[in-house]
Amino acid sequence: MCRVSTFNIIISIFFAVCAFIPQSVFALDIVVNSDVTISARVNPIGGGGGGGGGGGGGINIPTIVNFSGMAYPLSQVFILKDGNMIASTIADQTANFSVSLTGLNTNTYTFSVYGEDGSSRKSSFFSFPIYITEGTTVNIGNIFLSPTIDVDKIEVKRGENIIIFGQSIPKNEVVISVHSDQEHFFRVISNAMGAYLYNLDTSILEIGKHQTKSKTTLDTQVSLYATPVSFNVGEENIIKDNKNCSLLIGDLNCDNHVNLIDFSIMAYWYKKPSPPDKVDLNKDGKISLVDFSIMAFHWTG
Amino acid sequence: MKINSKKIFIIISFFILNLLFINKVFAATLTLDSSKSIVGIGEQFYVDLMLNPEGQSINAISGSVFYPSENLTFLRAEDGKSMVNLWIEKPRQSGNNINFAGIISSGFEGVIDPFNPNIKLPGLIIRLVFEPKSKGMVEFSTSIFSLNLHDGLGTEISSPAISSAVEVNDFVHTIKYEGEKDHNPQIEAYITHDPNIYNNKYVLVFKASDKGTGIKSVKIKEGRHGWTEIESPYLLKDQSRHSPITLQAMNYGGSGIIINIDKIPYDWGRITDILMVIISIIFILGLIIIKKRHVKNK
Repeated sequence: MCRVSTFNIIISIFFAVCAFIPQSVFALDIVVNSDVTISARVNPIGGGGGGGGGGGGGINIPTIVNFSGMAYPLSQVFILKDGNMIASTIADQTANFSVSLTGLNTNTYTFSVYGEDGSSRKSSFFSFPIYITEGTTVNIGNIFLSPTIDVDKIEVKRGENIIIFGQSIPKNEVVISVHSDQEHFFRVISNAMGAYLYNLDTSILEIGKHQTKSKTTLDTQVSLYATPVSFNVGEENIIKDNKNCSLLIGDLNCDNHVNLIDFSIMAYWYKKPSPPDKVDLNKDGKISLVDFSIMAFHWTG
Repeated sequence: MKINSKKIFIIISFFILNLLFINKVFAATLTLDSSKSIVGIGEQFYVDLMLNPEGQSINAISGSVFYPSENLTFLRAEDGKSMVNLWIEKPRQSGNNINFAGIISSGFEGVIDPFNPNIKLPGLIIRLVFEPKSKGMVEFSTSIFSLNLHDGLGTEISSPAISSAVEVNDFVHTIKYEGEKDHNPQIEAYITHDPNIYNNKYVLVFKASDKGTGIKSVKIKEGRHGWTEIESPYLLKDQSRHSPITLQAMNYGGSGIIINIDKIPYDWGRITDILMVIISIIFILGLIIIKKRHVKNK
């Protein structure tokens, strides 16, 4: 009897461990926007691009990549190709945007799309490498950018309010998640310009560091989650200073971009002793691949 | 209280198998894909290091590829089609190793084929071009790869070492692999200064890229100095910024691009002011001397 019970305990522990390992080691909050549609077609000779005509010479079949989706009313939308900004547009009043790129050769390109609201707050990036063949039209549609998000304080006295705000698609429900140990969800409706605001009573939160992020839904479509914003619940109120460039992680030269210049500053300190605190993003006293990875996550081009 | 040793064996075996299974399902994998499995002496070929993220999003990678230098000559590392868009350590030969480290700034989850968007394909990290010099079975191997997840935390994962073999026969084939030569390099460059790099001195930062074979070299010409091969970031020799700067990037196909970076022009207005002050002083001094002589003569 005793034998059996010990064996059963070991088996139980084993299965518990097996069940736990995949979640603790491998489970990741990978952002996947399954609503995005990608389609391609081969352009007919002499068609696709329109116009032109005349002249002789070789056959020129245009290559077109179309991006379309939703950002925020009248917001800027940027397209990066292989990490470099190549196009931008303004979303219309209903938050819809579309951009077309032409003149690409057959190759694999990594495109990234992000939006920026009127206060220069950025959405999370929607990125994907795609194989483009010359003479085709590739349509990447239903890109539903995350709302932007910010808070008015970096530290809030427990029991007092913190304002969580940002921009999304107009007149729609925005789901705000606040979590540390326990996750709380709040719902708010954006106005005609897509602006939303939630006054959170922090008495429900524990003392310590918290993160908040937001997403929105439209019919069956769900946006990406915004890149989380951190704040502390503590003993006093400290107003957030948005002129402080340290708010954009990886912006080492304070130009409101995370790009080649910041990468070069970090590369200068790679494997060198005593890097500046500002460059050492994970604060481990050295510049390693981890710091570059954090910078890459916040890349704006 | 004794537990049957057979049962313990089953448990441990099952546990090990489970861990192996987990690794295979979830971990990103790398492969070495050779353009040819059998080559002759002098017949150039390439080995592609491919990354399959297996559903994860990867934004940084570092590792080493080892090759037998007694059988092979390493010709170059092509990065034109690489998923890595910024190299921290450009692929470089060191003895029998080719070491590299770089980032994929937007994260990599697999290449999408727009005609079949549900399947994500592996992406190229580097293409290594070799030329065999003696007969034998040559084996390529790698270090354990360090990878970082695109999660904002830089979470480190690793991918196991891999190997691949190519047979070199004793027939002589002088076939050159030249890659895709019909691409032109591009270069993005900035001159900046920041307290966190070279003590706030003027620095040139640049990124040269080419969608074909990749960049062979980037050279600079600063004022009267000759052409010098450089890497980013580069500390400018003329910190006054009055020297004209020319940058040249060349790819392995022999195509190049040259860009000129504007110098800071001299402030002629200020120079004129200084000259006017000097001339005025000389004029006044001259007048005083003439007056003194005139008084003496009297």
